[in-house]
Amino acid sequence: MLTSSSPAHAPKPTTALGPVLIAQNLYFQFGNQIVLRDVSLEVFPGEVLAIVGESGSGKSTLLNLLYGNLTPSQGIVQAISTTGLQPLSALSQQTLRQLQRSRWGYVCQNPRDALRMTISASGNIIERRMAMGLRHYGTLRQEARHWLEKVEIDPARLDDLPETFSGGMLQRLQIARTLISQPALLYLDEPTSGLDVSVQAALLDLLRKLVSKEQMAVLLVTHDLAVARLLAQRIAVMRHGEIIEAGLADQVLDDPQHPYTQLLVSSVLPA
Amino acid sequence: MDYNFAYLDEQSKRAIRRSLLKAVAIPGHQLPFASREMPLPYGWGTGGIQLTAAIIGKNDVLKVIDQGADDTTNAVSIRQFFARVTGVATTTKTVKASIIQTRHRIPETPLQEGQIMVYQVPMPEPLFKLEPRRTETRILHALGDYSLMYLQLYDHITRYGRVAIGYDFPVMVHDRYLMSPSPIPAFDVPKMHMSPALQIFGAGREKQLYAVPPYSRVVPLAFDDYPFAPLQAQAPCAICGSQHSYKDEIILDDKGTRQYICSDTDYCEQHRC
Repeated sequence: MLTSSSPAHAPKPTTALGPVLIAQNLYFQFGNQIVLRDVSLEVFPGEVLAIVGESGSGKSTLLNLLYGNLTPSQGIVQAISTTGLQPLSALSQQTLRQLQRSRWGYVCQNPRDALRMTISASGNIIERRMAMGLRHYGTLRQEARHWLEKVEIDPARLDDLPETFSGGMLQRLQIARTLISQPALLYLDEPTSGLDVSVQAALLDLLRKLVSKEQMAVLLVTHDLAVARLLAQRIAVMRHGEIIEAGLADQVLDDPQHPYTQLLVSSVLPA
Repeated sequence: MDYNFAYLDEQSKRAIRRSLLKAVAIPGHQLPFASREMPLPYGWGTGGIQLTAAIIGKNDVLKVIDQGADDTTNAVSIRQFFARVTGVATTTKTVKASIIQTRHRIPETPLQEGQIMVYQVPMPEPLFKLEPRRTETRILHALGDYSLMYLQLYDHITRYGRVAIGYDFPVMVHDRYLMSPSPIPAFDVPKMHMSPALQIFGAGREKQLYAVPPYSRVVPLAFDDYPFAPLQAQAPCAICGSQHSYKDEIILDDKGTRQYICSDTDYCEQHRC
């Protein structure tokens, strides 16, 4: 087991009390097109917050704002960095990048966008560790093997190119590559959308296991209510750039209040 | 036809010198410069020639080497070019030269204080094979984020069992900037470290220059458990018998018989027994 680095990344007691991410009254527009209207939310350590809604409702834009890739036209995003809760706009590019590459993780829908397809699977996995300054080949390799096993990929595939992997394996690889830095906050953007149902189930199971074990805060963007039900404790429903309903997952899914949420919940195909 | 001293006009030389001063102040950092059209094609040393032209004075003694040799086409023509447009003395002896323009080698004879090495650089950006966007590599340099390069070393060890970079081995200059040492063999890289000579690098086509001031730390990238280990020919020089110099491998016949001789012709001549 590689536990040498874990104490440093375990959630600190101070962060366990308050939220790791706060968004207040976010507005965003592309030109004249208003994409987000007055969005506020908080994410706490150890919880999974799902943002659901139809495509075009502003889910991914919101995620990009919260990740610091986009800047809101109004409103403020605050996150726990090394010096406590700070607005993202106040962080230097360097600090933000460091935050994104070690204390945060981002898993996108298409693993090919995130992975380096010409570098071996193990190289992909340990990139973050090298960015954090680890310079021992043997240790890096050991960590790569460890994480490959953790995401349930055959360790014999350690040095294969990602091109030779299936879609589900690529997504697992992306997850291993992201989780290796043991992020305190994980952004999942439709992590299972491109996968078939059986692979989805296995991947969700794996994600649930890893997330609950590491006490991460997770922001999950999905249009799939089943995925939200399986992973999330809290759900925020978005439509036309606004959060129209938010609450505990069971509450929102079993007793939806807003007509749109009712429509959304009732339009899920029975399994 | 009469040319200005050292071919380039005074203002062009001055602009290059100004960039050079800045480069010396920020060791290993690439700076753009107003690279001129030169009377020879890109890839033949236009960057190095412009740098030499910018710094050469009437009392300088110039040595030009190509692959270590003073007598190869590129070396001969550049040396003749400067002899004609400046009238300065030229030499093949490393110890006598005040400016050494080079392609692909650092002389075996240790450099001294006061000497200036001018490197001809085809590609100044060490990350260009890994990150094609110039805007992005600039950010990576600014942030000092070189994990990409380490990723390549990792991949090399995984695939080949060692870092299989024979030339243009990436180096850290003064613990800050990742730098391409120009396509010199990895064997020569340790000579850059704490060198008493000023080292300047010019890329004419890419319009970039950079510098390593005397006594700067130049450290090749490596892993803790895979230290920097350049390859070297296992045979002594067939002419001078040197065990320590960098060799050219020469194939003698169709059966693959080969001979190793010093690539540094000046060094070889001095050590001939």
